[in-house]
Amino acid sequence: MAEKEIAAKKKTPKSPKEIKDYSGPVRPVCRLEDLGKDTLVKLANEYARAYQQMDGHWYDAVAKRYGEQIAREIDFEVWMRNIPSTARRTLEALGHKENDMAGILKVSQFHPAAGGCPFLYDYEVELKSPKVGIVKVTRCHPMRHYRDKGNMDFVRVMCRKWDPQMFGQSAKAIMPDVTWRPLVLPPYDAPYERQEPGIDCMWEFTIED
Amino acid sequence: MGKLKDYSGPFNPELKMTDFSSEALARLLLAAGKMYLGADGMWTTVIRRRFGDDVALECSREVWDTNWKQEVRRPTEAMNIKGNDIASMFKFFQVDPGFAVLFEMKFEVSDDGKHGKATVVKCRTLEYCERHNDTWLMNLACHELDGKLIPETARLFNPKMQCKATKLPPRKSPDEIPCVWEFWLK
Repeated sequence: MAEKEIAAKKKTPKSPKEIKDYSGPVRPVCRLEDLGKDTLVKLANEYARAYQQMDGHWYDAVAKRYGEQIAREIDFEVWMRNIPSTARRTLEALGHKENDMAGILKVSQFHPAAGGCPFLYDYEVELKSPKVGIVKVTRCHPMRHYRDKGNMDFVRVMCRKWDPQMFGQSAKAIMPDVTWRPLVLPPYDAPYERQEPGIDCMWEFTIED
Repeated sequence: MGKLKDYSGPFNPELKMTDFSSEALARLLLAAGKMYLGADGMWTTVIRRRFGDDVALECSREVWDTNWKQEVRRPTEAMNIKGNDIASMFKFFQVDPGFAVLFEMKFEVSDDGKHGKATVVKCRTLEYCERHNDTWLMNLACHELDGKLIPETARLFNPKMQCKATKLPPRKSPDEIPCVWEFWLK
């Protein structure tokens, strides 16, 4: 779909040459593809940030009216509904055709609520085998933010209540029979006491035979 | 920098955004723009269902009151767009994840730069509303939000900039233009 749309937009004559940024004159027709890659990358980061922030603004608006508990419930529902379609959309935009473990890892590298949002997260992934993949979040800004503010209650909600269900939803949207489990998970107490230097959380994905 | 056309090839644990070609990045950005407005839509849907239309309208207004300035500032900075004239604002519209990146738009600026016209030729949000016969959502998106935020955006670029919608939904047929916005500098 995304490819078709880009192709359709290309029917309009393309601007003469790629531009580094958009400090120059306005172009009546200016497509994303006309922009230099550095600028596109900056824009991609900002779009991902905007995507996450939209969620935050809604959370705040609901929490103000109905309290944190209701806002958390709704936030969870929104993400559970939102992740599958956005994961598939990311995979499609990346052009990866197979529904496999490599696709799962690629999506986690570029989904705007995951590795595709460098403002909030740094991700490292490892394809251990066609059936097993590892995702390491080496920097999770939201977790660190609430941890540093001493709000361990919310760290527990995000990391222990939400993430074990949510973290694998994008993988499940690609391969319904995938399973996932946390290997490292804040706040690093029972039953997940394991800690790894430089890793905020780590997950293992497995495709069952 | 690489020129990866897409990510159909082997998995690369070290892959960076800059390894992709401009076309591949453009596809990712289009997807991210859809997700951005999609997240807003999802919250609106859930709040309407749980608390009704009035609460959803109130929350949505509050969300966008907070959000729109960031939506303007960040892409503008990322693209090094400077200036406070109509052309500068149109440059922002062209890279806005919630506007011309998602909707097909046409821009015209007069030779003296004092008048401008932005036409939304194809609008996904309006098409969604029409498909679902959801006049409430159309009113929210086109009148309650855009009807206020687009003039506000003009004033943010330049307090002397004026704006008027000369065409707004609803429309009688899908062949009609969704909306037209005129801008002028006093």
